[in-house]
Amino acid sequence: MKISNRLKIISVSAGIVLAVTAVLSFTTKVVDNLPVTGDLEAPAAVKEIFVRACYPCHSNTANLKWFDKLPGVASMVRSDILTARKHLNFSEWDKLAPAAREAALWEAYNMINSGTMPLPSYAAVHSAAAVSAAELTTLRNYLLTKRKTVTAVKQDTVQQAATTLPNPLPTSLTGIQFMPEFRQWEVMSTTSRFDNTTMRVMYANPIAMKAIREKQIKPWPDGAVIAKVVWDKERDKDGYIHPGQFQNVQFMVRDAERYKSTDGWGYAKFETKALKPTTTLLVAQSCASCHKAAAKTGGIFDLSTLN
Amino acid sequence: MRFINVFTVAVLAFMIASCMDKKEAPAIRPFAFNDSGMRVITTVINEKDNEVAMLYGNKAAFDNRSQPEALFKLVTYREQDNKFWFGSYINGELLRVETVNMQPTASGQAPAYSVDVYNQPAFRPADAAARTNFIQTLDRAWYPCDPY
Ligand code: HEC
Repeated sequence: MKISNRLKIISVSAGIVLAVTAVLSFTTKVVDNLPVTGDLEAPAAVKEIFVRACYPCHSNTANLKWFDKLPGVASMVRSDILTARKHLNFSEWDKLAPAAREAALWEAYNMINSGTMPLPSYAAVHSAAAVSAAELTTLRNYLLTKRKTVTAVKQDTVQQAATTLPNPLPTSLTGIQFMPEFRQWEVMSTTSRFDNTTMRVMYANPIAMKAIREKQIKPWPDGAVIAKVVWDKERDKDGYIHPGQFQNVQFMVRDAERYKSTDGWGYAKFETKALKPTTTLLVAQSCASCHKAAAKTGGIFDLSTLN
Repeated sequence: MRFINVFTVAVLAFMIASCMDKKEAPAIRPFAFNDSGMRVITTVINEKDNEVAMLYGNKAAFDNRSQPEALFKLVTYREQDNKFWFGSYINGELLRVETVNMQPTASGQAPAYSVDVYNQPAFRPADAAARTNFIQTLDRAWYPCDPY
């Protein structure tokens, strides 16, 4: 066979592959666009950012590029969209309670700010998806209008009734039993939230504390446990803010193998004074998704940094 | 050509993303207060001064606040933005540790009050009796389990 003939065959077959690929790309339906039951409501400048950067995955109005429909790529895009919609869907905003909507927006901001969202693999090939520094400022300023102030009033003197732990100790569906011994652990940090009205104290067990001191938190060692106690804030007559109504205790338990599907952390939350274990496997997935925004510190948000 | 470009970019992006992930953890603030086995009684936020304080007590302090064996430490930090969560403040620099020791009450004297000041050169101590009273009367936060 002459070289030119071989070239011809190669280029013709390449042409066919290209043509088929192109046709597939234009005709492939990656996902069904479901009805919009209630779209996100936000000022135009804010909404515009979400529509451009997030709606391709987190809405029922995916508007895909031709290369998203390429064979091989389409299935990845499809799976991303279906997962993304399950976690957060701006087209079904009406299905969230008002407090949950606000929480979702604060979370969205923190996901963008940490470079977690839009998915980096997606942002790399869709340059239009990137959220600029100016847009982050727009989002921040909008969120600050939603900032919460504490109105609950603290009574003068509160006598706490003696506590009795449930027996047996409650265990969450993620296999984590309530650990009363967290009270003997060292305090890792304390936070005051203004995206809601809670205040928290975080405790680290000895393994976790050692890891922090030795800067070995990427990844955290197996056996590390972080406990978080959450109260609603109350303000006294002098303006000081105190822990009021107890909300819950949360645990994050490190076991890279056992909790592989949630990035190596097991999650559990024990709510109200009855310590009701409320963490299902599905909830734990959401915990893990959001904690991706703390990837720089191995999944733990509440570490104080040197500024 | 376009086809190849898309994939090259995707592969590059993936490589960059995985490199970024291995980046060093940010500078974590060292723990400046050693609790010496004391446990948290409660936490107080002072929004006006951008401070948050944790009240620690020894076992005697949990059992009965006014017995001579009781020891309290109120540890005050500056509040700073939580770098990983916009919507949250976190305890930052240690500012002072105030200690109330009930021992002198055994011989009918007033509790001993002292304050160690850090990172806050302009700090002027307040009246010892007033601070002792503030610390002693802070209500205990509700926890589901006892600390000792
Ligand atoms: C390429 C598709 C894609 C784009 C674009 C995208 N996301 Fe996501 N998002 C996902 C996927 C997939 C998940 C689930 C991640 C996981 O759990 O691993 C997710 C999860 C999230 C979560 C976690 C929700 C939860 O369960 O708590 C938030 C918040 C989020 N995305 C916000 C955003 C925001 C804000 C944007 C726009 C700036 C955005 N995403 C753009 C795919 C996408």
